[in-house]
Amino acid sequence: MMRHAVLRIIGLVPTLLLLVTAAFFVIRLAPGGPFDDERPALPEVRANLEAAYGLDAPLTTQYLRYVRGLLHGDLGPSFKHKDSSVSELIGAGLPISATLGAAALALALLLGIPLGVGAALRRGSLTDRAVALLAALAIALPTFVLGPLLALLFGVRLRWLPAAGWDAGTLRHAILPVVTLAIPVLAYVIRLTRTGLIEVLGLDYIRAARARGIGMRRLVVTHALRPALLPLVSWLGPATAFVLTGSLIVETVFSIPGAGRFLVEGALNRDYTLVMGMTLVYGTITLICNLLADLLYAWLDPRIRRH
Amino acid sequence: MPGSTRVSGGIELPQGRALRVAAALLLALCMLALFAPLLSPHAPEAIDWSRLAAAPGAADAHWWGTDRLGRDVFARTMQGLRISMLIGFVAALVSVAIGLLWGAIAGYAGGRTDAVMMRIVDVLYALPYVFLVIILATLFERGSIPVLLIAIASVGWLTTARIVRGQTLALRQREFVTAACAMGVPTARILWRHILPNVAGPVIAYATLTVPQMILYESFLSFLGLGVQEPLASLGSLVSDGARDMETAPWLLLAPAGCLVVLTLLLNILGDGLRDVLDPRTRA
Repeated sequence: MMRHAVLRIIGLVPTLLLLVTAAFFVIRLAPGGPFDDERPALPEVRANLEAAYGLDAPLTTQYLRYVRGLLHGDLGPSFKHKDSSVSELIGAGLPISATLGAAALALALLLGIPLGVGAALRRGSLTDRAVALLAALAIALPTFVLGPLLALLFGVRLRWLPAAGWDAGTLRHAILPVVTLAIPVLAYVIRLTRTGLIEVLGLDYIRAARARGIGMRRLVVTHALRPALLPLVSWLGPATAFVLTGSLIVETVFSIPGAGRFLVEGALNRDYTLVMGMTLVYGTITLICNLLADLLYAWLDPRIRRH
Repeated sequence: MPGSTRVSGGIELPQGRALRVAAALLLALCMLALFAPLLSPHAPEAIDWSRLAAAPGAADAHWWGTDRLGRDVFARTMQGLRISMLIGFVAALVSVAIGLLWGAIAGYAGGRTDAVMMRIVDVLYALPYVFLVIILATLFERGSIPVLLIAIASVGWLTTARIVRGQTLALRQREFVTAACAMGVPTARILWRHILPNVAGPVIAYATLTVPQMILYESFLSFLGLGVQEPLASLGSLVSDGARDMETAPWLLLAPAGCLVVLTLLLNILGDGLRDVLDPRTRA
């Protein structure tokens, strides 16, 4: 198990390198550059700027230089935010984005697992149908529709909560963004828990346990839940990417000063280092969460643990 | 939505009926979108200076009201619906074709080729792929529909590739494939005549589920301002515009948002239903 984990962590390095390389060359091959939409600069000024940022060197040299910087933990200077390095910019936004994402994921799991279990135990009942219908609806409701709708209802019409802003993460400001981000995840958690549990409850060992007179509550808690949650656990990896993507939208909708906006803004402005930094940081987070989900899966599933 | 995995066990209606109702409604929605220019006297980009941001039901056949520039919301939403559907269908077609080819080759070749090809899919799966799509979408000419199609279709093929590869791997062991192989039928012909028809069912079902995903990706990019550009509109760009004015003119948000939700919901129900019919493995 330990050996497996260490091997997997080492395996992350080539994947990240691939991501960095792909992002680096895709963004460089595109037309335009970071100094295009400034006031028409004199050719000499422009040449000096490009030299100062090392953009005059051949592309492969720039790539090697960038990777060497990464090995020293240096994401480079931002081309557009003149006084900040990429690390400073992302460092300022990331805690906000991370809080938002973690809160949404936690909310979805805390609500979704009990709802999924409840629906599975009352399979075919009215409650079950209602939960399934809500989940289907929530999956069809993309974040960029849900966010504005919630802001319109609770922020503009009812005036219960602020429609936008973050205000250093006070609870009142956090509720709408977190809920918006959590609802689609919640729908998936409910569906996965429900189908997982229904499948496990049909297995022979559960029926044998029931025949021995073990109560339903104890049966679910001690015997059925753990294997039933395996599909959910294996979805948690992709779920991270899902939440990170959703947070780009939520941060835009609710004007939250997270890190997400740097990606779109950076790509539009050809702020090469900023885009690269964002891709690298969010990529690393996704890969690590995928790894954690896999390890959790292996730990929960004795068939895999033994190997 | 991005990064989503399909989960079985949606609404447990009597499948046949849900499927037929969804298909009928979807057809009706397509017809509405296609024939909207005949129904409404207004062109999507025509400006009515006398009615700026008029509420729905206003006179002069502005059934869904007008936007800040006096353009008819019904006409614009229907145009958005047409563009979103077009991009969704074409992108789904392209991505399913790529996935089919990739999965069939990997599954049929097996061995090291299979390992390498599927490892690539695994790596791409684990990446926040949407990021590369955003980068792609911003880099080339903005709002160009072909670029948008390529960017979106490059996400959708991964799951198809996995499904097809699994099926092909199983089919390869079957007697009729071995027999064809022994008779010296060329590989390309075996893939075309024996493998493809047998994976068609699940692939068609999954393709139907890919369409709403593609529509959502496109809307996602358009919402961020990276997709379809003015004066054209997709549902995503309309939602984005509408969200800006929702305090004074909520219908600008509600019309395209409602259309988008209905469209994706219907496509999801249709896809789930088709999968239950066409893919025997998921049938309980």
